[in-house]
This record gives sequence, structure tokens and C-alpha cells, in this order.
Amino acid sequence: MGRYVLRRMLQMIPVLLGATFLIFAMVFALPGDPLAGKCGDRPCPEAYAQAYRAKFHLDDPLPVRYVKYLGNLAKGDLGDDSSGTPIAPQIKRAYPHTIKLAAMAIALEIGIGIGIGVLTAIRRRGILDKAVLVITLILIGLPVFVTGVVLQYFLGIKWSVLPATAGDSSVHELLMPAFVLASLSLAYASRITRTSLAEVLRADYVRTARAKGLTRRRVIGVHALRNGLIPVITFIGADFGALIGGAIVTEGIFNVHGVGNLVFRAIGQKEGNTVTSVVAILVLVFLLMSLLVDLLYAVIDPRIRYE
Amino acid sequence: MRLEQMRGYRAVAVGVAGMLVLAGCGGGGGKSSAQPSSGASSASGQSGSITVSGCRPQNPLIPSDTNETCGGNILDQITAKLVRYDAETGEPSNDIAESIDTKDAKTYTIKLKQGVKFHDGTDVKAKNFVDAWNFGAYAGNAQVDASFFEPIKGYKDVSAKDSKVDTMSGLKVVDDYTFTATMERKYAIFPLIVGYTAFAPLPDSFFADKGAAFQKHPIGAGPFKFVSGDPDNGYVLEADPAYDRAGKPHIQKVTYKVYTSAQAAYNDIISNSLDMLDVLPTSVLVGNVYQKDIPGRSFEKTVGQFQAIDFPPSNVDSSYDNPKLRHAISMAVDRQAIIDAVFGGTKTIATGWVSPVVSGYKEGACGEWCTYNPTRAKQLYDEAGGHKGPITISYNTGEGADHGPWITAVCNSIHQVLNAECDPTPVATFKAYRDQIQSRKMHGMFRAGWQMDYPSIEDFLTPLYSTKASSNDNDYSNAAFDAKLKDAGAKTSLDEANLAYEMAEQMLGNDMPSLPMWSSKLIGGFSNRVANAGLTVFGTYNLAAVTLK
Repeated sequence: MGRYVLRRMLQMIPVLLGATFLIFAMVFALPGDPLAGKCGDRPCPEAYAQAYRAKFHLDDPLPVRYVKYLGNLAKGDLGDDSSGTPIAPQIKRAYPHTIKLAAMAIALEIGIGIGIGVLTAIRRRGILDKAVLVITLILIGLPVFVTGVVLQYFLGIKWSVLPATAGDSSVHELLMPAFVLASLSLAYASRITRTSLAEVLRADYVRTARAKGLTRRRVIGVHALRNGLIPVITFIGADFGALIGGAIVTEGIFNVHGVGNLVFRAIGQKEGNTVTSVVAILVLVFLLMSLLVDLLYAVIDPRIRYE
Repeated sequence: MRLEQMRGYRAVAVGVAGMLVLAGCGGGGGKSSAQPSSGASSASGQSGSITVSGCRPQNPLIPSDTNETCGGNILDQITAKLVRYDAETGEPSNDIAESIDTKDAKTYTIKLKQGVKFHDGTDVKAKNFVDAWNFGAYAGNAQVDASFFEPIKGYKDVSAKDSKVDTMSGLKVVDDYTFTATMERKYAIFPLIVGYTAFAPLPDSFFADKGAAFQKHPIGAGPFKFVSGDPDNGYVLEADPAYDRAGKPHIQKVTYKVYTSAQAAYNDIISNSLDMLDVLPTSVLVGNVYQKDIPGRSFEKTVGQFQAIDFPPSNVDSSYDNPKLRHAISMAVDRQAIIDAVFGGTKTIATGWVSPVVSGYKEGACGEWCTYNPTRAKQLYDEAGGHKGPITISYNTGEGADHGPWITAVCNSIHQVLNAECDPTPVATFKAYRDQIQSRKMHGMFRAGWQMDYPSIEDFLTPLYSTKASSNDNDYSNAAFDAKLKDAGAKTSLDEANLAYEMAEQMLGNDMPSLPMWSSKLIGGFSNRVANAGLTVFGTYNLAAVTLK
């Protein structure tokens, strides 16, 4: 087990290097001089332009710049963005907002999604099952920004049930954005749970468990769910990374000052260092989540063993 | 110029219009504004705290290194300058200066009021101005606003590449509260421009580390002092109780909250959890939707932002060179109809090349050439022999820049009147767009915005249309016009200078270097907690006037 984890960790290094270099190259390959537009409708003063180029090594070839960037990274220094603001604190400030938002979204996904999935799997073809099917299809069909704007308008502005924007990222403020962010995955999670649980419920060992006279709760909760949840866990684990990276729209609508906004802004401003640093962390989150998911299989299904 | 930071949702497109979609980070205070005012009141009778929508500064918070509105707005509240511009009219009046005297418009003797203090308790003395201006101009400091010090004698030496000279010969400290500023040549409007942020004095502590500490915690002598904040989370400013000159605020505390979109900020205005928003989203201006959402809670202000469409330089594209063709195109554009259709009437139609809010503005400088006249336009167009190939107008899109609709409307107007093909040509980003213009690779006509730095007619003429000027993107060159500007600059009284500038402006009509379009009116909103909310002519919050109900 320990050796397996170590091996997986070592595999992360080349992945991280490759990913950051690709991002770095892509951001800087965007056309246009980073200094164009920096001084509005007039060209920048020569001295300013020179200092700027020197500071951001703009005259070096790309690989050299990347190595310099890595060198600083190894020293734990993420450098400054073009406005002279250090990047590290920006990321440090943005991540908690997004992690909180994503965690709440995941909690909703697990609670509501799996809950509904189990209910509909038990009562297949009932009225609830049909209603849930319709609602989940609507949620899957609607783009996030539609769900977001509509909910914000009715719940936030018209009826004042919940705050319209989440400038402070309190749990209360984040309820609506978390639901919006989770809505799509929530719908998928409930469909996957329903399908996979329904399948498991027909399995021989479940019939055996029933025949032994175990309570229904124990049959479903312990025997069937453990097997049935494997695909759901895979989905939710992978989703956590996606939620962190993909919250741009939701964060924009609800004014959450998180990673999505930071990346979006940094790309627009050609802040290569910022983008690369944020994405490096995103990649790391993805890799760690996939490792965690793999380890969870072993916990859920005793037949799975890692050497 | 000061860039107009497009916060992703500005309809006004100005200098750097559309520079970025700002997605700021953090701004606390969303809830504090929903609570009743803090009731904390300073000894000077100021009380209450408000939240306003802000945006993310692009440069360090150093007066001479800030060239866009996000940082400029914050620094403007913190710093005091020699003169202060009236919020309503833009008229300058002495602030820290006791007097600014000159006999020849070349050497100015500046006497300071005594007892003016920086927020750190030190006195504002003559050397604080001289050192600050030298710091801003010196090439070694690479300040973005360096060119503002150009009129001062010795600027050439300090701004030269790798220059070791770091003080301008034109600035001399006479005693603690007097200094002289000598210009390179006669420059009558000098007393007008020193109210710009770049001319703010800096405290002694600034120079110890070249502003490293200052940019995290700016210190000025203005009505508000810096409390806390950073680019992502917005800023908190508090009224300085010791401030006792014009522009003393009634409120005690203001929080600049960074929003990720205009819509988010607007939603908070509707629900009264934000107190002031300077620009409403374009979507709610059309059909005056906002008047239903926030009845009686909006304000409007004509600001010194100007929109024009430039003709390309002759050596890039000579097909537009014939003045008759230029006049024809200009007269074919129904400006008022476009303003009404696209902007819900929120622009002031241009009758010349200058914004109506500045000292020296005179209506009608462009005369008939800027008046919609389809028959005359068609006639001139035919006389000029039409235009070879389609007429194109390029503009920047994306990042919230909203020029597409109005450029399309302009093209449509030209097409209908002249029966000529006209193609709007979008360029993906503001950076790429400016890149094209600066390297003179623009395609046909192109959009040009301008945001004034100081409220003078000169700021709309010299930088844009004098030969080889810094922002003369269409390489316009007219010896008579240059001579007139020089003549205006050499006048000793402001009125005479303005008169000469007006005459220069009228000369532009013959050559039509650009099509003047309109000046912006900003429409903003406020919550039910405040009264007297509004903007200054620079488009910044008028924090001196706002009061809590």
C-alpha cells in the first residue's frame, strides 16, 4: 500500500512538469506584445518598457524563461504579476473561496445526488422516479449560467431568500452558488447511482442477503451500496477537480473571488506566471483526487488490493 | 492619459477600453453595508461607512506609476495636489498651493499653504513636490506616467535612456514652502495640469525604499487615508479628521469592493447591499430597464471621455486621403440616432474634438462636417470619386468591450447614405488591437477612445493631433495647426491660451483626421441608504458630497 502510494506520487512529477510547460508555452504563445495596451492609447515610456521587459525576462527565449520560472518556483517564489503584486498571496487568497465552494458543491452532490439516486433505485418506475428523471434532465440540459442567473434573480433579488452575491464567501452566501455549481453533476450523480444500484440489487449476493432475513436497510446500505457506489465515487472524485477549475462562470455570476476568476483574469491579461502557477496547483489537485479515489475503492470493496 | 479600465462590462470605451475583464478578488464588506451605519463618528462630525464598487488596479499604487482608473480612483482620494478640480465642473482651484504665479508662463513660482500634513503627520513641504516629480520623470524609476513631466525643463536629460541625471534642472526648492518650476518653453496651462494624480507630493518615507512600502500603504495629504486592502480584495479608506480644505467628506469610511461583473454589482445595488456603482451594465440601459429596477436611485454625469473614429495614416492606407471623402463619411453618420438606438441616449453628441466638460470647450468646432446631412454627404462622396474597395472600421472586442453594436450601426449609416460597402472589423483583444495600431498595421479606419487627464482643451488636441505626438495614431501632421498650438501654449493668460486652442481645434475640420463621435455620460446607481450620490467629471465617485440618510 505504502509503496503503491509512493510510486503514484513519483509519477506526478513528470506530469506536473509537462503540464506546466505546456500551459506556460500556450499563454506566452498568444499573439500580441504584453506591453501593448499597458499604457492605454499611448505607447509606454521607453524606460518603463525596458524595465518591464527586464523584470519579466521577455527578451529571453521561451525555454529559458520557463527554466527561470521553475528556478524561482523551487525557491518557493512564484514571482510578481505585471502590476507588481506578488502572485503567491493572490493564489492563497483565492483558493480557500473555491475549495469552500467546491466542497459545499460536493457535499450537496453526495447528499442530494446519492440520496435521490438510492430512493429512485429502490422505487423504480414510481411517480418519484419519473419526476426525478424529468428534473435531472432539465438540470443537465440547462447551461450553468442560465441556472445561475435565474436562481439569483428569483431567490436573491426578487424574494431575498438568499444573498444575491457572495462577496464574503460565508456558508450562507455560498449555498446558492454551490447548488448551481453542483446542479449538473448532481443530476449525473443521481442517474449513475440509480443505474448502478438497480443493477447491484438484482445481483445474487443481494438475494442471498435478503434470504438470510437481513433487514432491508442493511441489505441496501451495507451490501448493495458498497458495490453500487464505485462508479459514483469515481465520478465525484474526478468532479472535484473539475469543480475547482470550472467554477469560472459560477464565480463570475455570484462574485465569488476564487480561482476561476483569478485564472480568467490572468489569461486575459497575459499574466503567464499567474496562470501557470494556478494551473500547476489545479493539476496537483486533480492528481491527488484521482489517487484518493483509487485508494477509496480498496476501502469500499475488499476485493480490490494495491501492491 | 489615464486608461479607462474596462471592467468587463463597460459600455464606455475609452483609452484602454476593454483592456480586461476584471474579475477581482475578495472584497469584504458585503454584509457591513447591509447593516445600519456603524455610527462611529469622528471628532470632526463625519460618520457612517459606505461601500462602492471598485476594480483591480493594474499597477503599483504609486501616483506616477498609475495610469488607469482602478488605481487612480483610490490614489485620487488619498492624495492632495497643488490644485483640486471641482467635482461638478472640473474647474481647478488651489489646494495645497497658496499661489501659483508666473510673469511669462515659463517660470512658475509656487507657494504652499503651511500646516498641510501627510497622513503620517509630516509636513508637506516644497521638497516633497520636487522630489516626487523628479522621481516620476527619471528613466531609472521606469514610471508609467513619466511623460507628464515633459513640459518641465530638464525632462529630456532625466528621461534619456540609461541617464544618470535624476533631477530636472527646471525644479528648484527656494525655501520650505516655496519652489519654482521652469518650463522648457512657454506653457500657459501648467497650473491646470498639476491637479493630476501623477503630480501628487510624496512623503519623505517614500524615498527611503523607492516606494516599496508606500505602494502597500499609500500616504497622501488628501481627504481620505488608507486603512487596508490589496488589488484583489478592494480597499478600505477612512476620512482624515485633520483634513480641513475643500472636498471634506461627510462620510467617515468607504470600502471599495471588487466585483467580478457589472451584473453582480448591479444586483447588489437593487438589493441595497452596495451603496454606489459608477457604471450600470449596458444591458439595463437599453430601454431604460434600470429605471424600473431602481426607481429614483440612479445618477448620470457627462465625463471627460471621448470617442472618435480615426482615419488611417496615409502611408498605411492612402485610400482615405481625400478630405472630401472624409467629410462625406462624417456627414453620412447619424450620430444621434445611433446614440438613441445603441446607448439609450446616454451619450452627448460631439460637435468638435473636445469633451464639453473641460476648460476651453466651445461648441461647434467641427461645424457642418459633423452634422448629419445625407444629401450633401452623397454629393461629396461622388465628387471625391467614392472609395476604392469597402470602407472598414476596426475595433477591439472581447474582454467586455462593447463596441461591436455601435460600430455596426455607424457602418450601416454609411452604407445607407453613401451606398458604399462598409465592414466592421473586430480585433480579438485590446492588447492585439493596440499592438496593430502602434506598429501601424491597422486596417482602414479604427476606433479611438480618449480619457482626459486634466480638464483642459489642450489635453484633447496636443497628444492626439500635433505632429509626432505620443498618441497621434493617425500620424496627422499640419504645420499651421502645430504653430497654433505652440502659439496657444505661449500665451500668458489661460483665457487667451484657450481661445488660441479653440482656433486650432477648428482647423482640424479641413483635414478631418478623425470622425468625432460623442462624449460619454455615465449612468450609475445608489442604494436607499445614501443621498447626494454622484460622480465627478473624471468619472470617479464624488465622495465629498455623498451623505448617509
